[in-house]
Amino acid sequence: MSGIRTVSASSANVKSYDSIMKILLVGDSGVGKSCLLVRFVEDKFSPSFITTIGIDFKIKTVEINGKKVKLQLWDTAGQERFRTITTAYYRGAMGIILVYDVTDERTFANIKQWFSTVNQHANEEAQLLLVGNKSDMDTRAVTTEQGEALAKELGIPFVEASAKDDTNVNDIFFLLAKLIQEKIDSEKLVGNAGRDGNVNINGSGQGSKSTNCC
Amino acid sequence: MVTDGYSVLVNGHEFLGESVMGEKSVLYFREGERLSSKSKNISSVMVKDDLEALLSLGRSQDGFVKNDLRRPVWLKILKSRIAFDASRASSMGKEWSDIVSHKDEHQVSLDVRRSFGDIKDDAAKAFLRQALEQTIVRVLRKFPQLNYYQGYHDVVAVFVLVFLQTQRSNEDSELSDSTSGSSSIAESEYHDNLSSSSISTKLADDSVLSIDGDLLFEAVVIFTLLYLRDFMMNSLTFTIDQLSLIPLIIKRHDTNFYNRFQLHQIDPFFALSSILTLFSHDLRHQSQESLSIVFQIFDLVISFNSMMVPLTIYSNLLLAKKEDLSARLQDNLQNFDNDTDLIHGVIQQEMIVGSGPQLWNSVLEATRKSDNSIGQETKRVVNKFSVLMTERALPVTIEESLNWLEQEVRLSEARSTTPQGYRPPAVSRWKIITQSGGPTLVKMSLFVGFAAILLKLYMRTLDNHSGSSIFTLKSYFDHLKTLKFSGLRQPRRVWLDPIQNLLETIGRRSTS
Repeated sequence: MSGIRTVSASSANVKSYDSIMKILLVGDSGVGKSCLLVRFVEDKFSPSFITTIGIDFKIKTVEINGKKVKLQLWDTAGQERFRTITTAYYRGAMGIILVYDVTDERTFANIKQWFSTVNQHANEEAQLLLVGNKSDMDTRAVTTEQGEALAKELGIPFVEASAKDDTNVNDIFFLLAKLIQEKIDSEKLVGNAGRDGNVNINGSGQGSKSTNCC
Repeated sequence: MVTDGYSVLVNGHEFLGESVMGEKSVLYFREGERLSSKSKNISSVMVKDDLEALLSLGRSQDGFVKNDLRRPVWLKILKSRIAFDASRASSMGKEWSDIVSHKDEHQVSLDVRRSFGDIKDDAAKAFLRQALEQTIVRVLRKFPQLNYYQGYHDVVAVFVLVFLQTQRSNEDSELSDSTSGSSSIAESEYHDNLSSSSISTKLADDSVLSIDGDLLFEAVVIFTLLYLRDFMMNSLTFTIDQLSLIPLIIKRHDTNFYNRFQLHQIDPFFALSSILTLFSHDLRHQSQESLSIVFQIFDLVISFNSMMVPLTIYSNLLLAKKEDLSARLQDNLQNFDNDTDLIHGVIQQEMIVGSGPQLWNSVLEATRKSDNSIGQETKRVVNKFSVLMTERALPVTIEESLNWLEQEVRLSEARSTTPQGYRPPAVSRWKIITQSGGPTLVKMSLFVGFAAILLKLYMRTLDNHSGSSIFTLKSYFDHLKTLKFSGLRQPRRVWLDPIQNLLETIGRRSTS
């Protein structure tokens, strides 16, 4: 039943990359998730970027330690009402970026809620990263120290960035990819690769779905 | 095949040879002639007040052709379905700006700030944003029971553009199609209606932008109450119900594609932004041509009077691209963590790459010919007060439409308070199978099964006269209880095999 992928998993595809990482961006509406992504993927910035409705998907291949890594980037809508849909895409995410806006305290305060939503729906081994966006703005309401303190409290790394003037944007994604790679490598030593874990989660997810209907 | 032809044309567009150019200009000439003749047609039908003729013009190629015609035509059609009058509405209550703000206004301002990003002139952009925000806020304050969703602003932005009038000093402004020159009767009628609610601004090049706020408000209110209600509940439940119709439409046309893309088990969330915004979110930022497609999609919804239109369009779009989609699926089989991601990723990537005007025109043409009425399956998937169900009951008064809204809100709240936040599509599909997919078949098999039990029971009773049916039923329930308390965790088997249990008991009884 579970699938298209498993059926022809043996079909020999010529791979243009060494590995794939699924990365998700979450955070309140308007904090600049899409802007960070577009800056990273297309190296563009538009001050009036369009809203994300539901889920948007982008792809970018990067090189990390001489290996080609295909980053699958899933951008999510910030509005609360889309959460039922967006959380369906947390499954299998290896990295999750929690974004707030340094000029908007409310978005910073909501990070804890995002953190618990992530913990509820994502893989346990997913690598998280806290990002304070719009660091170029003068109207800052959240200090760098506050951001660092929160990151420490949650036990996740922290980066301040600006999609507008392209500060630290690449660093966000490269740092996250490196951390994920390290996790994969260390887990391989134990003999349980990340991908296998994902497949299991995939299976159990579908299991719970079917119990809902009965 | 369709898409192959398209990609050639895209390249053709970019690298046009001179000979092709000649052919093209003839085409353009013919197209111009066709459009101007259709415009005249629309204007004269407006004068004759022939609503049916107007609707059929809207359903044909190019829809209502241009925004100067759309303004009066949309209003006329929409008002024929719900007689809503902004001036009457405001005189009944307080001025909208005095009414307490709606809970979603912060979100509205966040989204308005990100709207009209493709308009280069800053003054024009500010003007359009102001009109957009005012209209949305006015609608929400007037009908506080509506919940704002991201994407509603995209829909209203289309109305803002249609209701925008430009009086310009020079020809080459990019904001709206030409207003000067062709002064149709419909237009002058519209100008007569210009009221004090009109807002305007002068741009650096001396052109003047104006919008009649009340007319815009009326059109948006009626459109919202008629077609967007389902999306504005307290949750996305009814939106998801609508989305689940896409796989059903696909299945009707192409079972192979349906199976290949696992549409029986993948939630069609990939279509969310297209459906919520009637494609305005995905299309309007691409080009002037794609913006014209958006206007035509709205023309279709309004003239077919059906929100089945966007669902049909989406299905037709998938079907038109099925070869490319299948190829992309094949290439990506190992690139995704799970099937939901795979299908979503593949569809979204394909939609971005190759959905140009050529393809869109053929999809719209297919949609015009499609059956846009709701089918039996729709009735079983969507709620009783869904926009898809009520569209047949028009025209109504504003009070009646608000009653629908109230009923639907109540249903939505009832659904979200049940432990299952939303009904998984699998359940609704199961319902379809049992209720419509093959009702006779299901009934038949139930009948046969039941008859078999009765027959068996009857035979047993004949075998030994002591067993009565009441007694055996009791023994069946006793048997269930024993299983339950004995800690045997096999609930599925108990429920699936009542007959077996029943017969075993009877069998034992007869031998004892």
